[in-house]
Amino acid sequence: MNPVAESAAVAAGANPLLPVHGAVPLSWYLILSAMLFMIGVVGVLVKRNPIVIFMSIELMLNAVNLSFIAFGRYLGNVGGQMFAIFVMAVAAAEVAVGLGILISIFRSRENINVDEINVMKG
Amino acid sequence: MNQSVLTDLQALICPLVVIVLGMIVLLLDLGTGDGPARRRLIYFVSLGGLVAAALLAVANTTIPNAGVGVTPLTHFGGGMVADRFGGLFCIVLCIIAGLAITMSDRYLEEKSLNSGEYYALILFSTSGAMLMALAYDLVNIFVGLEILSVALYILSGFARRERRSEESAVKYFLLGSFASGFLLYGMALIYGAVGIALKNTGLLQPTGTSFTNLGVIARTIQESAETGGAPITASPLFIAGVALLIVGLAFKAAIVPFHSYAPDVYEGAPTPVTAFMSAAAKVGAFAALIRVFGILLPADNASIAQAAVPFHAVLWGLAAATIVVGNVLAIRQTNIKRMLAYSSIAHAGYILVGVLASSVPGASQNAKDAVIYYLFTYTFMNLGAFAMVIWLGRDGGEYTSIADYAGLAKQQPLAAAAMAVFMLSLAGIPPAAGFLAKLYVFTSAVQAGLTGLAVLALVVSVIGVYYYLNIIVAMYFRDPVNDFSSVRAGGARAAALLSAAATLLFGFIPAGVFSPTIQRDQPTAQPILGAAEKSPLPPAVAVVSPQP
Repeated sequence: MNPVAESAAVAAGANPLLPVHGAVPLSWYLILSAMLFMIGVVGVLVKRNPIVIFMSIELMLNAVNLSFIAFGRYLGNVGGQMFAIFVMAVAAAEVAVGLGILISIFRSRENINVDEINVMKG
Repeated sequence: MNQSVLTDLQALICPLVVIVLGMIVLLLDLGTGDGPARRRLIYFVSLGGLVAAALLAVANTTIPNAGVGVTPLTHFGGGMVADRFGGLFCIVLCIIAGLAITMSDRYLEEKSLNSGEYYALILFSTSGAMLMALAYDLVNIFVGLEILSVALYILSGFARRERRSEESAVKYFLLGSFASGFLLYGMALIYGAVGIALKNTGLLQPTGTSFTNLGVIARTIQESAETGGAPITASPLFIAGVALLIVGLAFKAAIVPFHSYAPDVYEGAPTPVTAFMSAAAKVGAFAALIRVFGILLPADNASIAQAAVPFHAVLWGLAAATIVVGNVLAIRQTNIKRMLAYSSIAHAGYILVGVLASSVPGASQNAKDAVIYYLFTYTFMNLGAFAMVIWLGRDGGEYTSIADYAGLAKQQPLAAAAMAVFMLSLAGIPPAAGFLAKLYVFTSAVQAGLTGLAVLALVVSVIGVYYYLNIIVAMYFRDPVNDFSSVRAGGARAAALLSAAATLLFGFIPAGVFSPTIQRDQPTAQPILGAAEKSPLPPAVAVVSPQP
């Protein structure tokens, strides 16, 4: 929903949390979110560089955030937005730890291709 | 208001103590004084704090379990719950952290990894698993899981000069956050499905109702079934959500087919960390699995049960596959850490049998007790086995090949005896506690009508006897190849002997610590909430002070 339509709806007395006529329907958001999630999953499975794999994982998390926010807005419930903020905070912690691990492995091998991280097998 | 905040804090005292303890340890590490003395102080402060936390958690074990038929005592606006189940899980987690810290001292010194962060990370990770066990809201389960996991990612790469340790951290981190993505997507879909069901039935209260709260979800499922229409458990969004949630939690518990990371991570991580995560991550994941399945897939209502049938079938298949794959792949391992990794996968399968039984109302209480008993004994026998590996190492190294243990009984009879106790217990042979644990879980499975699965698990667990006895045969009936005359003393030895004593004690006095209730009469199927309270959706806040 664009800001103009939103402010018009608010002025008309509608609940700003509920969708007004002409807004993008929920299903579109969900389809977009599912597609982003699948792109992320495929990226994790196909890519060989851990940084790119990690970016794909972030894409998955953000696809989930999109779902949460779309549901939250559709339902007029703050729980979705709140959950999305939790996800962002946790993702930030994961980035800090993950990049630290990757830097440490790059220092010792000068190479971070996941196919070559294979000392252990079986 | 203040009174209720105090009650809330009192109910969650165990994880709070552990979190504060972690912070104190970090502060102590900054303090002055020479290194070794400070490390020793940190070591004993951590252990003392964990004992205190475990004792404080005992108070919660008298509160009846939340779940089918019982309205839970919730805290923090319905987000957390304190009950017997959660209290017992907290005690198990304190024991796990305590044993892992106990066995770390010499090992860390020899590898020059001995720093305060190690202890703090173990404590933070433990608190995350405790939060998972006490969570009554999907948000809290997720946050607890991440506190547990992020600390474990760092810990598994803690020996950062070793390639194996680094490799284990990268693998665990990438696959772990991948699995978190699935878990989260599942939670998002459940949130949406519950919200939409409430919106359609006109019961929606726009604010103040959290659709991720397990109490709200339970009531929504119940009401959607009673209003005559299709229950919410049959909606595609909900089914997809539960399926994704299963994937996320199954990964943490290392259930086949989401187990592929476990052997590599367990082999590469520093051994005390392997011991810790093989137990703590499983305990946290199984606590969340039991809590969530009791709510999401209640089997006490015909129309809901109909929708839950596919999930029960899926869990049945996962449990069977986990038991078979774990046991079969463990046979060909020559590295003891990898062997124990596959063995822990097999044990996850046995526990999953109990989890599955716990979602059947008539057997729910027994199955929960059986699972907790299993986790108690698993903690002692598994951490004990890893403590043996540390104990018998020296000079910063350890003997990881099974063949290295040949002839141990001639040089270190006590160590060989302790190892034999762990192996017999893991194999499920009577004098040790592992036998009773398997007996309770399989009995509860039969009570729940899962006879086929119980028989399969029993038959396949016989395979396990082969690879566990292999180690005993090597220790007692082969000639020595290594000199074990100067093994590492210190904490690892204490942890191993303590675990062996506990394993035997649990085996001889099954009802000594808390009574696994195999004969207790169970009420038959009851509605999720008492019939008296079917008001449309007040938030599930019932603050009652815990019984002392």
